[in-house]
Amino acid sequence: MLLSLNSFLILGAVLFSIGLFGALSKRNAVSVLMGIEIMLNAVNITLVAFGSSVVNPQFSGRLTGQIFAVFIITVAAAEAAVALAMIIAIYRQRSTVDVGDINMMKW
Amino acid sequence: MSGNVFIDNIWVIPALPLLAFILNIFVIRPLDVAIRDRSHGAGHAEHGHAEQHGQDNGHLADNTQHTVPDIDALVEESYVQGIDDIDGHIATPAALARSIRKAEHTSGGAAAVTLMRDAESHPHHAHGEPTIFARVNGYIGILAMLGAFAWSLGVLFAMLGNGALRNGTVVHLYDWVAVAGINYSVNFYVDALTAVMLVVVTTVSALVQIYSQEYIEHEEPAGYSRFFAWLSLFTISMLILVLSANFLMIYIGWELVGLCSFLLIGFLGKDAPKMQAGRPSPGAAAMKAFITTRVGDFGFLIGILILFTVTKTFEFTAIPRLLTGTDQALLTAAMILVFCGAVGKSAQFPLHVWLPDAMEGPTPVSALIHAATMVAAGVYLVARTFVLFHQFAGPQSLEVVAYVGGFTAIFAASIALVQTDIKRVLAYSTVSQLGYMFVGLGVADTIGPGTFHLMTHAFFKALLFLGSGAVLHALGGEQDMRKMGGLASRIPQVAIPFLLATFSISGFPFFAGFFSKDEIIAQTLQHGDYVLYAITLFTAFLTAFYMFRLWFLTFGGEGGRFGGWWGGQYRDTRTISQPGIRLWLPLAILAVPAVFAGFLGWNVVSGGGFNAFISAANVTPAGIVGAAFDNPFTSGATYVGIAAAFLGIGLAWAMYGARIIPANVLTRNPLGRGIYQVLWNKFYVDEVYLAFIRFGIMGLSRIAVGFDRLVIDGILNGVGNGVVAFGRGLRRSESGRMQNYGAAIFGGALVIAAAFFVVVYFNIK
Repeated sequence: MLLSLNSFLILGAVLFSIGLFGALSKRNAVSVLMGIEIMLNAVNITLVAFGSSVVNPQFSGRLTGQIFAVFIITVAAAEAAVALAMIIAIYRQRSTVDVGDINMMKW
Repeated sequence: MSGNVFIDNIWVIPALPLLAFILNIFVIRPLDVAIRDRSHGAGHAEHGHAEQHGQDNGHLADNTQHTVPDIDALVEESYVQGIDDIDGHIATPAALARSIRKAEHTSGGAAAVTLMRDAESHPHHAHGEPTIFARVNGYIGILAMLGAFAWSLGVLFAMLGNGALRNGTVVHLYDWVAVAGINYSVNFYVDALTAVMLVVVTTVSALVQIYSQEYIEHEEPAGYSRFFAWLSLFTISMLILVLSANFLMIYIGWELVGLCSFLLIGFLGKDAPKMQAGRPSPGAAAMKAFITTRVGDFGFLIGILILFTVTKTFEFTAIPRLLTGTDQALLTAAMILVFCGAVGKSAQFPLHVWLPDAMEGPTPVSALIHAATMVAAGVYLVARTFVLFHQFAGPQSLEVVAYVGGFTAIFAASIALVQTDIKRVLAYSTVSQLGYMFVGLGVADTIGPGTFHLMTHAFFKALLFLGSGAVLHALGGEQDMRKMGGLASRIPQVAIPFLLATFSISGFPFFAGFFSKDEIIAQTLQHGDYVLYAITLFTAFLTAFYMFRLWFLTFGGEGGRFGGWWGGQYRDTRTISQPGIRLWLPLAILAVPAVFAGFLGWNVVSGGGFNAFISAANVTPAGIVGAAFDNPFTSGATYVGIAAAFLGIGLAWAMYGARIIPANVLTRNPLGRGIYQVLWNKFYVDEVYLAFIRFGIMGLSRIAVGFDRLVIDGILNGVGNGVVAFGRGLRRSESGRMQNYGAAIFGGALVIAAAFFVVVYFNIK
């Protein structure tokens, strides 16, 4: 059976929700990072799904969504590298990666 | 353009004193101050030397040096207290005693009071000499004034030669603001009235500058340059006022002379001698003058703006053309408001209170500003806008002018009867004579009589004031006539011109004041205004009486020659210093117009007379406003006026010269004493104003302050406090945990998405 666009969109939405839940509820900073990665990939799925189902002759046809996805993967890699480095730095400083203890971002 | 070189370059007249002022303030006065600082610095060095000696000699000497009070600071302090105290305006003996007692209890106040009492018992002049640069400033001021005087004479003679010039020439200088069809130009207007005023102003200014050279040298050598700067500034302002061709310029000049009056009244400032009963401090007097005239200026401004709203122009020559068909009631109101300005500036009732207090300024200032020129500006204003009063506004406007003037004339003259301060008698006399001028403008259908009296009064009153200054100078600052007497034989060079001026103001036949005053009295009769006739006639009697009372108390008295007319007993012990030539020569020069200026108004001598000359200034679209001048000796009324003057002179001689009638003849019974009390206290006008200020204005201010504190501040503080409280609450939402922030971001996005969904799904538009 042929998968419709909606199936991909639902998959993306479910994955995004799982990632969002993980990012907001986990106390371990690495888990939060993992949640964020899941959200990014959910978006990638959505973009690729849209790209393959909606043909836009004005740009590069079905490739548009894929190009975006590649960009996001690149940015996500960089982001992960930076975020992990920050987590390591915070751990060295405070001996913890519990985001509940990291509440410096206030007035 | 008139083709006459003097009139086309009329700007030279104010430019000359302006040049003197600029040179004085920006070039020479800094040098003067620099020199003085150096000599002052030398004094300091000597002081330091003495201190070293003190240290050498041990602690005792050191201590005594420290206990010497800082005199300057103490005097400054007592001066500030004097100004702070509202009672300072009316220093009644009780209020004075109260403030002295209060001062004695403050730290350092006691020393100040001692100093003050010392100053009272040993009146001293500030010592020292003006520097060379200060003297240069004085000479430059005089040269500039003489130049302006010569130029003014040129204008006057041009007009005497060519009658067409008297109708007025507009000299356009430049456009100040030209935008959207409105053109504010700096224009000068030169007609017969301007020419007369120019000559009067520059003559008196030049003579006062010469006189001030000697006077200020003794009174305030340190302020020598400053004094001449202010005198020049005043003359510039007065000339701008006189020359202006539109209401805008005249208002600028009007406010500038007010400012100069303020600066010069307060000139002696903290160096003024002692607090004294009945006399305010110069600072308080200056503020009083400035604020009181401001009350009238407010009406003046509204009047100008009404005229501007109607005609869209300020030009005197254009306004009459554009006014035809305007509501007469509105114009009447506008002209009465313009007259309010004149009431303030010319010290008419009820705004007369500042002029007597303005006598705290140096006497040359009193002569120039508060007798001859600035206070006449109100009369000049009415004369300049006479066409508007006479042709366009209702008859009520000139009636207001006449009756305010008439009431002020008799009111001020009655106060002058009992005053003992020589300058104050002259001040009330000025107020009274200005009232005469307004009567003259109000009843006659021409500006002739009013401006004629303005001119003669400027000469003889300037002479009287300068003469009183010479008396003050001779007696070391004493102003109380009870401590004078018999001065005629001691300073005859002052007494002779003074006596001539006294005859002139009293309306003695063939003196200047006789002709101008007789003209005004005759006009009231000619127009059938018997109330004003009675008032002016009786005031003439009062004037003759109080002026000769002043003469006999000051210069004559018991034991004098010719039955007390000349010399006599001197009632004080102080030595009399002789005035120098620079003091008495201006008096002698002023005596010439003070005696002979009246003949200009007498047809027998001067042909067409003053009125024909100056009436040309009243040109309307319809023609010249003017009526024939009534001449003295053509009706019996003249002899009634002469009788009134003789009666006044005779009574004064009997009471104060020969002492045939005891001076206290009227004050022996309770009624007379009561009247005397009321007059002595100037009808309690100051007290009424003080009560009004204290209970009316201060009460209103208290209510306003309360409203401000409770309601306005309440609203503002409430808004502020609300914002702060809200922020404090909002601060709690900022936990610092970024997961909370993330939840908020996504929650917000969810809300927006939900709203978007609802809008799209239910197709809400």
